[in-house]
Amino acid sequence: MSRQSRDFRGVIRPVGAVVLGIGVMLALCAGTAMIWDQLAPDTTRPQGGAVALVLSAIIVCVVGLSGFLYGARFVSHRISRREALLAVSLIWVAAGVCGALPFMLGAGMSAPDSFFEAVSGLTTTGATVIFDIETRLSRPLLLWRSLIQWLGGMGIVVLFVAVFPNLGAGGKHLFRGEVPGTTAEGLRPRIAETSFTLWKLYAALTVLEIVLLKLVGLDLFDAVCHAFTTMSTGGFSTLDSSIGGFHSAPVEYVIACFMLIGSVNYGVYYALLRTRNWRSLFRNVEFQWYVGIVALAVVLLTVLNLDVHDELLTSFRYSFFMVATTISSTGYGTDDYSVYSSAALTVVLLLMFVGGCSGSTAGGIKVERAVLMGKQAIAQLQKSFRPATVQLVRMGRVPISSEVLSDVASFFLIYMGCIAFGLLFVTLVDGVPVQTAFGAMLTCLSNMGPAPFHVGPDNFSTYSAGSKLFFSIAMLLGRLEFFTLFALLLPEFWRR
Amino acid sequence: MNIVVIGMGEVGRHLLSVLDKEGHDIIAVDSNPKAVQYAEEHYDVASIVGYGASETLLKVAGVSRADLVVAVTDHDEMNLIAALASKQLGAKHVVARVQGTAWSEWTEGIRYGLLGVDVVINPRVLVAQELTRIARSYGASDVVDLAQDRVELVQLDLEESRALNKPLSALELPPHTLVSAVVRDGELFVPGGADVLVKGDRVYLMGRPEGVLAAERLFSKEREARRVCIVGGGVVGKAIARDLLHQEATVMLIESDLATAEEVSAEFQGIEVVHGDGTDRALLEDHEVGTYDLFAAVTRQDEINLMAALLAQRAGCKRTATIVQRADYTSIYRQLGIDIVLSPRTVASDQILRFSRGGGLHSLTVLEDGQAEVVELTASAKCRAVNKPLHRMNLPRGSLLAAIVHGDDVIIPRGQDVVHAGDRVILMTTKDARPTVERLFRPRGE
Repeated sequence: MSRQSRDFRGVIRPVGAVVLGIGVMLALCAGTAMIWDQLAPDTTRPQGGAVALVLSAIIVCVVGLSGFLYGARFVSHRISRREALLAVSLIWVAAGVCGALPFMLGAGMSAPDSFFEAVSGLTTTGATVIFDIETRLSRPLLLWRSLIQWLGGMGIVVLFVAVFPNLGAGGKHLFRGEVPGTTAEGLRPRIAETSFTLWKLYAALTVLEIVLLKLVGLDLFDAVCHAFTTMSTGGFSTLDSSIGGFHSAPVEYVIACFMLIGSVNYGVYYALLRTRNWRSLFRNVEFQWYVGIVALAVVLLTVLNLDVHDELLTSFRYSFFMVATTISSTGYGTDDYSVYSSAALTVVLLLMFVGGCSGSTAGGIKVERAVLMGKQAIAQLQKSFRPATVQLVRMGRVPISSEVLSDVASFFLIYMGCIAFGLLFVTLVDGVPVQTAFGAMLTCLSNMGPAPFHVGPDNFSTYSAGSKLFFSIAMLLGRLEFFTLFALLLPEFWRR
Repeated sequence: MNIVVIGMGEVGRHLLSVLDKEGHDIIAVDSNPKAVQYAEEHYDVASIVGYGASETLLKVAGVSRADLVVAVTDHDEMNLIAALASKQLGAKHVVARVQGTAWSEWTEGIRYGLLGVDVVINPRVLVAQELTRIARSYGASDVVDLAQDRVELVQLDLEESRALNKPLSALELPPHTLVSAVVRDGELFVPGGADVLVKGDRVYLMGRPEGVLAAERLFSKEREARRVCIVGGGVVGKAIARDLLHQEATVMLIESDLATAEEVSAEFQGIEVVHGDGTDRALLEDHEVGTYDLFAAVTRQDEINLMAALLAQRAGCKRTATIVQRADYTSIYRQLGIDIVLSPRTVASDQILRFSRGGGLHSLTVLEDGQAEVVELTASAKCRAVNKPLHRMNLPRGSLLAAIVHGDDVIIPRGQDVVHAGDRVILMTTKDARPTVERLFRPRGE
């Protein structure tokens, strides 16, 4: 270690702890799946897979435990901002590697494929390289695939902060590394309690969805897997044809509603629970905009899709699902958007850009940022003819500081910059058409899943290993909202 | 416990650092966004930027559900209004700090129930009172009164004396006193009978005031300060002068502002008021500060206090005292050879922190940067520790039942002594022993 660089060994212990936690999750998942296979076997799916989970659990636990014990020597008194950023980044990469093990061991997938699949799960993207899910993945592996998506949804670091309440202000830095921007933070004064509250809400909603899906006729296994991937707005399905494969309008409506629920700021639900007053829902300005955007998009798509689905109600059914799956960046499919008219496809693309509310599990730029950017643009325009007037950008009644505004603007710049760079990389390496590369890049950065303008089947199996790794990084960037990972790239980060 | 701290100054931040570690739900309030950001950054607290006395803000901060609201901004009136408003909104306990000159009329350091505010504290007056007690002692560097002046806690830095280098059990301490803690090389421990005191140790003596005074005589050659020189005619300086005049000591007060100097001179007859700079070496020599028993630099500026005290020390003054706003610097002052270093911040936070403990502490004194603390509480009939002799109480290592106040009687307990319900007890615990001690004295079922 050179004299110029910082000592970052303090992060070994938290990263080790999280890896150990993932090992425990693997073991739990393996156990549950084995019992499940014993009690209610399903012969239509491939068998086995539990052994791969157990093996992975052992490997991951050993690595995690040794990191945890070795790191005890370097425990820092309080996790600093830098350490937090590094720890969060490492945790996510490590989680991706751990999550990939069962796919390598149990489904005979290559390392880049497995890593892509695991990262796509953890970041709740839901893009897949597996085109033959139904014949390749056994139930234990399917459960694991859905579980990592569920864990990544509310955030593994948030879970970590909830489980270890003694991190103090360090926990706050960790939390911000994973959930940046204006968020549900501040639900409770202490960050550990905030994290715990978030997870409780998340788990409660998931249970509610499992019950509802069971009630509308889904098999319990499918209900659990899909509830995991709906609440996390992830989008992994147990069927090749996704939700469309169930051919059931009630299932579609339940899932569509929960995707919309999942992409609302969890702070709103907390406020609702505490005040027990429905009006508190609509007091949240971002929520108002969100509802407006959803309503407008549903109406637009329903009308535009009348070409494809002749009947109004059918068109509504598919359009509603499409809006929900897109704005929540889930990525389930019931409808083929490649036959949409250009205008309808544009609506979908715009929804993909915007994404859900801040402080939710959804991806994208986030409604709040989009609204702020719009308002800031209007304020700047007004300045051109009324230069002396004080122009405050407000969210509801609250004036937004210029610091926050410049944060939002730089977020957007980085976002667009990433898309541009991604276009260059993917077209260079894989030689796909520009719009295909654009669709793939956008879907990864906004943690959506299906890629518009795709050539061939709508998955990532045809890309080269290099591009798959590149897309994995793009998904991580999108999930951690850029700043955390990009900070590590600056030389100043590592200097004393 | 839900706690709202209004004002992120020296005291506010210190409170956050202690309360955060103890695991409370804290909301920090200040009108300066930078100060709030600092708090957010360093402690696990939620925060609000705004005017602390505004009712809207207090509602947002949730004072109606708060167990404790502390108002420690730089503005006395704002503190009082914020505390008052919080109380009316339903806060359980409210504490306000005042310190300005407008309140110097106050000779009390603490007022209970003023304007409906549970506790109003004036740390400057409290510091002055502490300094006066030190001046009266035989060489102590800190004196704290407990149990309504019936028990005294005294800090003493040991010089060479007959009492050293022999086991504590062989030391003939006056009756009703004990050595409750020893600090050696910065580490505090509770001594046993076999421990030996050496030069350079700092000891904490506890007991009845008359006994403690006699015990001081055993360790120190110093006597009560008869001639005291004060630098600074502010709230603290005047309060010390007032108290010392009552005790018929000779007092000289140096003040750099002419109007203030004249004011002090008009207010107190019989003290020598010098108009001049306390850090002016020639002035100090002209007035022979070397002949004074105690030199106390108590202006509002830390730099002036430190320089003046160092100059007085060079001039041959036996004991020097300063107050320091930035309490973090205490140990540095000590290293520089200042005998007595007091901080209004520490005094204020001790007074406030006792409300964060629940169970109604009468007082809390934090020793050696939080290594140990002395608490004073009334033993409830429902707690585990009552009605059994001390030796069967299972007090953990690092803790000490220092005194039992039973009616008017003060007992320094031995193995057979018993705590009765309703007795006031004084306990000393190190940081590690605290949870166990709290369990012993917490009423069952709470």
